[in-house]
Amino acid sequence: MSVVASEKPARRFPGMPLAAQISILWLVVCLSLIIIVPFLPGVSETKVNLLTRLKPPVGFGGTWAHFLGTDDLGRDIFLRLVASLRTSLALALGATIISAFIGTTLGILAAHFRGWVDQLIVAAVDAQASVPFIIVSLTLTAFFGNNIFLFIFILGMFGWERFARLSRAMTLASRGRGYVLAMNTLGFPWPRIYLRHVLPNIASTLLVTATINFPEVILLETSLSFLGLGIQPPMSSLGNMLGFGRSYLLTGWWIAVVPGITIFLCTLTVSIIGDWARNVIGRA
Amino acid sequence: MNSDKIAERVCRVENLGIALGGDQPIPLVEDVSFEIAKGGYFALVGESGSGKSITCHSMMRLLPFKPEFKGRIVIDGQDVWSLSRSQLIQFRRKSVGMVFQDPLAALNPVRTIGSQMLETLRLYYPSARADELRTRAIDALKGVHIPMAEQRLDIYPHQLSGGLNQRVMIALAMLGDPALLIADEPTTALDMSVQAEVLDLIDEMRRKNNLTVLLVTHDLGIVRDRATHIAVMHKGRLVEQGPTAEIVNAPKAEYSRELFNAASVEWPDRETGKLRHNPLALTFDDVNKTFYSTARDRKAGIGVPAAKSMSFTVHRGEIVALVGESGSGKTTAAKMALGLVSPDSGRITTHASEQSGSPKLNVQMVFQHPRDSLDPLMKVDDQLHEVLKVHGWRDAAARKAHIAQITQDVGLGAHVLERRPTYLSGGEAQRVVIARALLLKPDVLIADEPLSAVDVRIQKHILECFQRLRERLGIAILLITHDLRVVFEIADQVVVLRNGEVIEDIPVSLFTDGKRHEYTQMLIDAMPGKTAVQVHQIEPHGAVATNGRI
Amino acid sequence: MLLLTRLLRAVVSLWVIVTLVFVALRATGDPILAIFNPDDTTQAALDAYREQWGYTGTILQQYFTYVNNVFHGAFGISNMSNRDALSVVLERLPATLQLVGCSAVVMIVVGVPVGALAAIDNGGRLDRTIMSLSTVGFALPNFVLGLALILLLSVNLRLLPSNGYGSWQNLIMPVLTIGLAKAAIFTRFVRSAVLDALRLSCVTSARARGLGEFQIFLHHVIPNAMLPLVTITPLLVGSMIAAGSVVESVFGWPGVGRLIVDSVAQRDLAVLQVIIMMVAFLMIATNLIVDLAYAKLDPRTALAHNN
Repeated sequence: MSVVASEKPARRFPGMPLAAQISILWLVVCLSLIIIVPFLPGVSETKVNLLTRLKPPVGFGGTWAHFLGTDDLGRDIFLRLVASLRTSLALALGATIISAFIGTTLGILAAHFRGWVDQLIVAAVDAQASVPFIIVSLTLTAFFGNNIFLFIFILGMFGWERFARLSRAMTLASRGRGYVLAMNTLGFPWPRIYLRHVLPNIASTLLVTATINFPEVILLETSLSFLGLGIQPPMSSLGNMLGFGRSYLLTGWWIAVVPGITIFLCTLTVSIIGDWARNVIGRA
Repeated sequence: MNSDKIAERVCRVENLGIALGGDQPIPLVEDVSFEIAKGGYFALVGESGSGKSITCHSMMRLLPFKPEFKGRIVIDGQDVWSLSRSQLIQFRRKSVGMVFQDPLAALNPVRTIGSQMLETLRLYYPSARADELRTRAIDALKGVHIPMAEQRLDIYPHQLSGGLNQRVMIALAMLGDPALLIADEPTTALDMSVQAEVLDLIDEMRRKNNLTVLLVTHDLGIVRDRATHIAVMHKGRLVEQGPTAEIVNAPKAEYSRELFNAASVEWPDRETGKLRHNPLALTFDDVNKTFYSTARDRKAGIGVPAAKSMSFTVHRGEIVALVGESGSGKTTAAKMALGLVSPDSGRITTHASEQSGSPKLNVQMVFQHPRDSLDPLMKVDDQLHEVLKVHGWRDAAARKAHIAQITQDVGLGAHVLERRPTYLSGGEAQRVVIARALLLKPDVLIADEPLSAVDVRIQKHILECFQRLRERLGIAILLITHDLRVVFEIADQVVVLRNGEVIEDIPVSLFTDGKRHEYTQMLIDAMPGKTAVQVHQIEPHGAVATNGRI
Repeated sequence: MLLLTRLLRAVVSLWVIVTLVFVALRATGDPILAIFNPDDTTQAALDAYREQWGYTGTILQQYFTYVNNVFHGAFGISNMSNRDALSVVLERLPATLQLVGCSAVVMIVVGVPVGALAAIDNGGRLDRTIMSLSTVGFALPNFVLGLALILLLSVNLRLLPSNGYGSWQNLIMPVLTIGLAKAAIFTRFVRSAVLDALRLSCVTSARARGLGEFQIFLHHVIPNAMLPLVTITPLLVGSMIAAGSVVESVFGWPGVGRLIVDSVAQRDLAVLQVIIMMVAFLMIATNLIVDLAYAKLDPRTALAHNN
């Protein structure tokens, strides 16, 4: 029985390891919850009920009414978790798209113009890579005050240098002796070469880079929110949920443990998928 | 045991099979058998990917992967693949020495020459004092004719030339006084001028120490003059083996015939020069270009000259070969003709004919690596259509007709159009690139080493394609190459470049008249298979009725 | 000569940072108002401070005053504690150095052998296990690991104090949190460096000469694998300071990391600029040292020729 069950998906995705399949399943579950739960009738993650405060999850003395327990104000942990997950994943996704866009654009520009443009961009990439980013983001937060726009900007700045470095290297490689040089001699306009030919060819590598960037953005966002410097109440993200739950480690450990495990699973699954994708591309 | 026979034959390989392990093993070498007699000089010849390197690495169990091994390898009386770990180490120390392709990489870059020699010497003299070992190391370096041997011990490999590093490698390989020396492409990474010296050194070692040599190479020129036996390898199998004279003079297998044909030299005795009266297609007039690595170098005037008063002409329907070693400026000349690099001074003019598509795109390029110069994600057909679309061909039917015409001109089947570049053979890819260049109806085609990345069999087809183009369409071809065989076969005019200077600009028929510049003479001498030329020169109508081919 | 250009570049980098901080300070409005609460400070006192710290005159004059002050170690007064910002930071430094130092030791002691083992067993079961553990370690956020340790070792088993500073028991959990997380990343770097070194042609040629595997590893693999690791190690140690901001908050460790978070929350710009410049100085200094170390290890670099 079990052999048959494990063989079936293996045939559907040839060469995809079980860990990657489970990871994809987990992300699909997360995404479905984010989309479906808000439309369920009569649910509210902000509903306070002091009669049901600090109820433990099912299996630790709790009931199915609040199967992941409730927090200090009697709010349902599961519903709060889904709302936080939505914020965290949306921020991470948006930030990754922004940094991929900035990085790729700068990388291609550097490779195209060479000379001082290239040197400037490479210097910026090196500088960005050598300074711990969390220090930079803390500094920016201190100088410019804590607000959601700055926060998104900070997250979007994260990791651009990785995209820039890659796209620059790959563009340079195809410029030197490859199809970019060929199309240039055939009189193709530059924008067409880059948009129609270079981008599609480096897209898979950029996508893999995004799967490396994504979990790190989640970590950055949750770290800052955990420290109370990112997402502010009434909004909630996985990080600030955990940050608040930290005060109840003795009386209600689940308030911190549930988002903690969720963050861990999200970063882990995306990393596993990224590793797998990198292997596939490396082999091709 | 039949120990006499084993002593006679230093090396015996029986039914060797090597496959890359896994669920479905990929065979890399199949059913290879050969023997090398004591004192023999055995050459294993084949193109890259033929399995010759894997064969020679398997003889010392140095494969970089865990193979599925079949057959038997007996060297110096030892069955190599059944040795225990410690026996294997003793075998490597005492029975075989190995020389590698890239001497700089084969030596540890972060340690001095001396420390690597002492470390190896220590294996043979475990109780010797350090200064004793040092004396031995110096002697070993002197043995391979390295000048100032003592000073060399304390420097790093990157501070020595490639030729000297290869000498160090040979000295290291000879420290254990091995019975067999395996040399894996020992000259491929070296400059032409030092290749012969290294081979001479191997010959000398062989004479002095009664050494047996296994030389692995793709270069038939080396083999002809030195080896006693030759084995030709193709696609993981031995296609033919025997004494050198037999194989060279009468190769039996079809593949080795092709290989030897491609490597032999056809004497350029055809009439050339009349094309010089055709209208001009491309002129270089006193062109100068210098590259500077930094702005400071530019100010100080310390640069690398890529063109110094470079002048030559290319006429319609003519094939002009631009010849020189790497760094001679031939690629820069091509880039300037294409307008990718602008000259510091001088004029480059293209003379558009009435049939030319666009004066700006009148010079087109055929690249060294054809597959790299195609977008790997797009079907060939789409790529050809795109070129025309970019240049304003709106009418799909007209595009289609034009593409059909040109693919026919270059001898490309219609089925190729439906494929992506990954699924093209090397020859098909090169013809697609030629077709793409022709779409814009240029008058001049620049071909940058168009044969270096394709199999010998396909080289011929590409050359025929060039012939057809210049005859049928009157296209002028500027052929950039380091390979004089190609030049002799197809070019009308030869321009020899050195450090950006034009050294010769002559019809190809005058190329080997013996009155050439010493640099040109060096290029001819360094040519693989040059002995064939010389023999032919002495007896132009001799008994060897091979039509100039050997 | 090359050493001199490196030094010059380091000085320029520092100057760029000082200038950026100055620009940021001015861009955020009246710095005096950011430092002092105007409600409980008299106008005269504010003016006096403006005078004292060089917030008068044209922007260029202010800039020179600022650079001059920085040069003399005068960074202003912390508004959290009303003390000199530099000494506020300096008194937190030992705790952070202790934490980072011990974590770096954990990272290297765990990462080097484990990564080398994985490389030697390339593709094998041990390699895959190590790589999986490394992925888990990388995905586990500092604060989650920290809280998990507190839950397990402090709340449940009552073995270690959950926070505080001073004894070796206090040190264990934060050091494990940072050290193991970085070891997970470092292991990967070590593995790929050793793998690359193992594939070098000089390793094959040493094998062909009949050198023993151990000797080859010691004399040919390690020296070559060191080169990329020398570059990455300081970066990882630097990132420990950043990780410290989270971990020190979790464990109540009185280091610079927690000071950053507190001063960001309080907008204590005087303290913050000291920290920024200190971190920048440390990074630039380590980069310089790495360059020199690299030259020592790799004779091919231009710097090595110079010496």
